[in-house]
Amino acid sequence: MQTKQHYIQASFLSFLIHASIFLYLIGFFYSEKQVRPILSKAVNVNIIVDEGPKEDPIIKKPSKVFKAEEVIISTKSENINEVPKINETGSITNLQSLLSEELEAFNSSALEEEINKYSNYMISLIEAAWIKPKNIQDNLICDIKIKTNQAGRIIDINLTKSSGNIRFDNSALQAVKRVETFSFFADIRKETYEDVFQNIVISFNPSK
Amino acid sequence: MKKLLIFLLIPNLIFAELLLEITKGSDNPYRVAIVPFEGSSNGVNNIIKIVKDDLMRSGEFFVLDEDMLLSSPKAIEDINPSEWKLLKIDFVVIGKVVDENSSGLKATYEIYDVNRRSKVRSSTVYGIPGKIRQLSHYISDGIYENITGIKGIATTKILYVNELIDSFGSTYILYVADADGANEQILLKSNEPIISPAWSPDSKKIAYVSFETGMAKVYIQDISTGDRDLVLVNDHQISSPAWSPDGKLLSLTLYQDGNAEIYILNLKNKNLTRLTKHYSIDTESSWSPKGTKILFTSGRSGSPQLYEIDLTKFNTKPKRITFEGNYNAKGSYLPNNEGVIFVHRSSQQFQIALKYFDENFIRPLTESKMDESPSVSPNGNVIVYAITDDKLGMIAGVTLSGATFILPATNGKVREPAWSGFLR
Repeated sequence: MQTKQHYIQASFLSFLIHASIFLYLIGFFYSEKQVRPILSKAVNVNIIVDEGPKEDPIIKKPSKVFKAEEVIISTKSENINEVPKINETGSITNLQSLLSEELEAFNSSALEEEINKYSNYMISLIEAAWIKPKNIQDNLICDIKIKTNQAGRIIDINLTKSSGNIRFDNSALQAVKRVETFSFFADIRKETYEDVFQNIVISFNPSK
Repeated sequence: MKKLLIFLLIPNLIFAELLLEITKGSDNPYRVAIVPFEGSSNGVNNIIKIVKDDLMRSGEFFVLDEDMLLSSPKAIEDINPSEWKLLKIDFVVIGKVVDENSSGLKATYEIYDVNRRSKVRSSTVYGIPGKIRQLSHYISDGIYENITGIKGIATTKILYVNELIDSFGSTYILYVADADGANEQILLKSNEPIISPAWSPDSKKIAYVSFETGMAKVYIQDISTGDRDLVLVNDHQISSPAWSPDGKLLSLTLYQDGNAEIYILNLKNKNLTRLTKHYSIDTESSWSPKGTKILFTSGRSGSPQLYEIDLTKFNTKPKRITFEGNYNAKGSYLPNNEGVIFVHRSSQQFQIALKYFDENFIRPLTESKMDESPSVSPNGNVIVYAITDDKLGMIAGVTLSGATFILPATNGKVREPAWSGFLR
């Protein structure tokens, strides 16, 4: 009986592993949402383009912003390489694909810009509301997870990572409570809100 | 377990949130305007002054002077937000005393958040006729809590000993007063010294050391009835009482082994348990907020330093807490157990200092010459201590946000302040 149970467990585990490998291969786990843009300061998209794809120290993980820039650059270079190739009939053969690529790149960079813009609004609002306690330890960090509704009202506040100092945690919670509503949410597109701004983690880290 | 792991990993891959990082905050206190309260009685004008003093003393608020107000709205609806924005006011308080007669005092107040443009609190407080101070402290705590999210301490009390010296000698008086030093009441008068007053966790009783019999003995006194009892009858000196957070035990310093050692007394069955065993002095015990550790001063390293004993482990060696300087004594825990407050000697000054357990240095909080006997407020934000200036002894306070204050002076040498727990 004992061994039988082991067999069942082992085969179930094996099934799970194989199933997950299979699902991974067919791209089941791939999701737009899995890229987690870490934004701490204004990321000026244009400046990054000018300087080329150099690692910005503010961005810890390569985020969506980065990918978007790369796409723009590659489309541009394709343009240069391929646009002069006019074939004998006088029409540009890959015009259609070029256009769609351009559009896609434009859309994703527009999304990034939108995210950046509203993220920065939110950061400045919270920073204005936050009164940092004095005589606290250095290097305190706490994370607060908030849930917003589409009107921008914060409907749920959770301290997900405590700093260990109650005064610090409390000041952070109080800052988020004081903000209460992000009034500019009305300007955010519904899809963007659902994808990005519904659940937000706010990390208070004054040591940076 | 492995199966579980896989399931746990999947949601992490799919859901990820936007992360915003906040690196800057303001150091400025909250700016509050209090519109003069309406009401018939003469005491109404005092309410604002008392509330203002309470809030300012916390160091976390700036209260605008009354004559700086541009208008005096009578209701939240009459508030013009842009006018208050101009004065950089974060919150406006409007209130009135609605009813005052022989049976009671009733006041209402509302807090308006200028940035949010909405009312954030509306409250009614009840008081005893003529006791406008108490009512005002309730209002102060309501405002403090609503804005900072931390419990206020305006309604708490402080114990202290005053030594009056006249031609016949000294008289020692044990007082209890409001946290702002007002409304003091005598609890005990003696011709012999009274030292080390301590509150019970429910703030209904106090323990103190009295030399009235010629020896140091610890008494417990009920504040409301005045009944007092000797906690332990023996032939030795006893000092430094400190209550455990559950109120069942009292830690004491006993001198029955030839030198000072710390014992724990069970108040119900009077059983004594010895805690320290060392030929040097061990004294000034205090309990951690959860009652699992005891902090004390010991001379075992050659100079007074703070040590901690873990009560949850059997027979453990005391752990040394302070290492800076050759004098660190009279320690007590912050209410959330993040660190300790104590007296530290730097060069020739005695100052109140803070040490967080996760830091390896101390943070001095005061700068005067002779600061002693620190006592931490129940919300952990303020520390009262005794200062000696020439022959005068006074009670001073410092908040963790850096503000300092001195409680109104009485004649005599005031010393050994002890802060009560929350009374509401």
